[in-house]
Amino acid sequence: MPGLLTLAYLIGSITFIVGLKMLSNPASARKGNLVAAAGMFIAIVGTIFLYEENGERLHNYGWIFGGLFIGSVVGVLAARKVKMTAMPEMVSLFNGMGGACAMLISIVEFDHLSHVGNIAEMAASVIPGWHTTIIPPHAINISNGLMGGTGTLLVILLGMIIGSVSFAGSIIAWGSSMARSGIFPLMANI
Amino acid sequence: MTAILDFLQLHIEMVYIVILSIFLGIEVISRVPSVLHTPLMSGANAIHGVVIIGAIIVMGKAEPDNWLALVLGFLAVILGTLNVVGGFVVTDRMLEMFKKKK
Repeated sequence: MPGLLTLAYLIGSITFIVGLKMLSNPASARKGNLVAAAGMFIAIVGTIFLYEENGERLHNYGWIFGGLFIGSVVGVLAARKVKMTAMPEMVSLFNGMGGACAMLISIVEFDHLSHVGNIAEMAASVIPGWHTTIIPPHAINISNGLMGGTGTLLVILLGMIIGSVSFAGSIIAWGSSMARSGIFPLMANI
Repeated sequence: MTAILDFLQLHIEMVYIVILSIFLGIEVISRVPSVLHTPLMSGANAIHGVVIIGAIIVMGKAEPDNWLALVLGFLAVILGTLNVVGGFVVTDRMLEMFKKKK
């Protein structure tokens, strides 16, 4: 039932908005955080068990649960063990992880798109001259059958850029504030 | 010009959603007491971790012999979970401290 997942995403979106609103009031802030977390849980569980494309469910459950498990254990330990004074650094590090995640997704999707369609052709429709200069003719995938490939390519590239900027910026912010507190002097001059 | 108008016509629902979201965002985070700025930032960061959904889908759709997708997708799931779980736990810790001080 694909409608069920849509409902899960709708509930997730509403909890995020309500949670953020509650976070802006001291009395309800802690509950707001939990509300948003519950929404995230619903969205994740819904995706794992309900997502289907062309009637096909997700596979590789071992990898997915493995990743979720490792991430949860490391995340909880890091968030619990960190000193109160080092909290902002931790937040910026976590933020960078999210950026890196978006970047990796874009790389995989780019790879996927290059198997389905002709990247050079999509790029050529936006950037004149790309076709011959940047990608050598022998590297061009001949198979065609893209649906709005150029738009998809643009979105993937945007995701890659935004993810990388988010990752690099957060890591530098993390490193320089570590350096200021004398923990990690290597990055002091960034 | 025609291209832009056609694009608008075709994706008008999407455009409405984006514009309303912008106003919603401004509305939700305005008038926040300054003590709550850090937890709010941290909480918003945790919510930003929704990319984990994309990572799960990418991972779940990867062919079992496509090692690039498997390894990168696996890494993406780990990093996304770190962002989500770490973000919410850190926010909760901040707010807990906030409560005790009061």
